[in-house]
Amino acid sequence: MIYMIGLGAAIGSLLRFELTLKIKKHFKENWPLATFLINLSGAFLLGLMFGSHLQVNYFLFWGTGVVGGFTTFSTLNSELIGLFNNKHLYVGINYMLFSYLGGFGLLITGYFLGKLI
Amino acid sequence: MKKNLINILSVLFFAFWGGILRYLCSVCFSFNGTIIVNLIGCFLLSFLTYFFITFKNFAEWLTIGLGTGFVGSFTTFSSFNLDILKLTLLHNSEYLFFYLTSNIFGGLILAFLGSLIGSCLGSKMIRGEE
Repeated sequence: MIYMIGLGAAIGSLLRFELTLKIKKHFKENWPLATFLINLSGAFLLGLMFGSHLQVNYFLFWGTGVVGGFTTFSTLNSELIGLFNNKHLYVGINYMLFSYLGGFGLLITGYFLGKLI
Repeated sequence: MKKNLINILSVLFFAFWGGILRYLCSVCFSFNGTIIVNLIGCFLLSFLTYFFITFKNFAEWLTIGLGTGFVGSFTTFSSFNLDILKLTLLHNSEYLFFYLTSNIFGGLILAFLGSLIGSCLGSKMIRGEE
């Protein structure tokens, strides 16, 4: 099973890599839109899977593997440091607030939706 | 085209191991496992990013594989949020407070340290080469 988690994480990370390249090509503002959208959608999906009581093996592959590899905590923080270093304080604080509040809000939304399914 | 393929294979290979390592940490240390991977990952990614910005002598596939692939897959934003929900459902507010502050502020501080040490070491190595 552990290799299935690794495989899932590889797929999720490749998706993140390709999406980030595509979004950065079209969106050139300071706001790190790619990571923002990836993290928020990933939080929603994981909440949905957790709420719908997916079978353990499926959750490990799709949740821990794919969605876990898709979202990233390290890029969020290194982007924050980049924004603060370049004196984009306002964007940085907003990015931080909306990521954390939005992420948890969407995870709960997904969780309750999953319970309904 | 060929360069893209090498980058893709590199991301797949490194992310595979990053994900497995993250899972093992969460099995061994439960909620603390997420704190551990996120804090180590924040330091590592900033370190690598700023090191590779100043010291450019590494192949692109290696920097992308290590940063986006390994560390990106090693850390997780979605499980971090799921842990918050689980701790809320468990009514463990004391630990929840510790969990939130260590991830959010610890992650920021370690990312900052990583960027400092990374750019410092990068410029030292460039001077050493000249």
